[in-house]
Amino acid sequence: MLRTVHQRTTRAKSNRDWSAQIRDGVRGLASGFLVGIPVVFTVDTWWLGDQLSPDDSLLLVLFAYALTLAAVYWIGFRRGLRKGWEHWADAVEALALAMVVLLVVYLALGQLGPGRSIVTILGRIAVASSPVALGIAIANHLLPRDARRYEPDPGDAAALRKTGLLRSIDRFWMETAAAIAGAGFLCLSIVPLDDLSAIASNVPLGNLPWILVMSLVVSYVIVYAAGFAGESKRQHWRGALDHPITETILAYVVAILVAWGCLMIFGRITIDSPATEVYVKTVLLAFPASMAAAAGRLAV
Amino acid sequence: MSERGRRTGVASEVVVLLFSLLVVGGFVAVALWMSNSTADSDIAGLEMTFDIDATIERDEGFFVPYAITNHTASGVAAAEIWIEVFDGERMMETAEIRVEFLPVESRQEGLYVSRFNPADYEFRGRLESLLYP
Repeated sequence: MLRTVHQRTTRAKSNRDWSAQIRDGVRGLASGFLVGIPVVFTVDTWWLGDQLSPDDSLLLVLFAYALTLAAVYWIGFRRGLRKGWEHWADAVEALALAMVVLLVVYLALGQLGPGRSIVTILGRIAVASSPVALGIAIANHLLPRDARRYEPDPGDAAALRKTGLLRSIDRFWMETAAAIAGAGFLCLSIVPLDDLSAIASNVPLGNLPWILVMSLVVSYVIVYAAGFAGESKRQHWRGALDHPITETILAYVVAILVAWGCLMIFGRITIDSPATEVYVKTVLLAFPASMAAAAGRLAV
Repeated sequence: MSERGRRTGVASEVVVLLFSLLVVGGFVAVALWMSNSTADSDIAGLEMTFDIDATIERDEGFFVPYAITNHTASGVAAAEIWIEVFDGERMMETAEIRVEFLPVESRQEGLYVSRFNPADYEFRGRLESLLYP
């Protein structure tokens, strides 16, 4: 007797409890940071924001929403099938996340204090909201949940080279190299423009420890708290170098060294530069560099 | 998914959406409010103030803190301002300063070094030219 089997396509069910909401949000934030922070570290973005009228800011945010809606429709940052009004809601959430991120970043950079008008703050957020919101909206593509950090696709060079289980020390060197590559890639796109000098002169010295702490927290979030595949495996490693906190700090040290090296290579600092100038520029540049280093480690 | 789990899921989505609407709506509301409040601003509303009480005397000169605030409806790309020191109606000293960029309702602070004590003389700021972005 023949029996017809109707095979149904399976779609990932959207798990919409609180933990899923938070994970999707954090993953979106990680992606938004990666795409948007280099834009924030361009002083032209600041100046452009300073010149905007409130009406211009509104228009720009409207444009950012339209762009985000399109990206959310095709890619998105939430798990599961989204439909109808959920796309509109997701775009609002991505835009809101972007605004909160930018508020926090500008606050850390000391750009929301006395002497700054509300119009300036609105303008700066409006200018940078498009890239950050877009970064959040494409999180499923940029930082896919099912990415395998240590199980490359068959045929990849990494898979062909791999003959057995990687030892902990091998993983360490692989990740360090990836962090250097990621941080170097970003530093080389920022340092030659010398926007950093203008930004460094605008950021109060007392804000740098906050920037340092934020660099560490965001790096940790990108690699460990955003719900990527392999994350649970990483958190179970018990080597001294494999602990999430140790690894995050080591990756930050790598970002600092790469930032310092790039500044030296391009002559933005020299051996004779005052220690304060070296400190300010290096810590500032290490902020986006640490995120790129985290992205590099994810790409391994 | 159980009925309870489904309800929790919907509630979490609604809460997140409401918070997001609050953030974006807050941005839009503030922008609209600022748009209305700056629309009627003076076209050349640059204000210059001297903080006489905070003056520091050093090397036979007086370091007088000043602040220039932009109350116009748009950012200022550049402005030339003359600082003039008067003894009654007689001008004793004059110097030009240049503001490179001043967004709406923003303030630029600086120090003017004068030979005259601001406690005894009158310090005035006079706008000479203004360039919009």
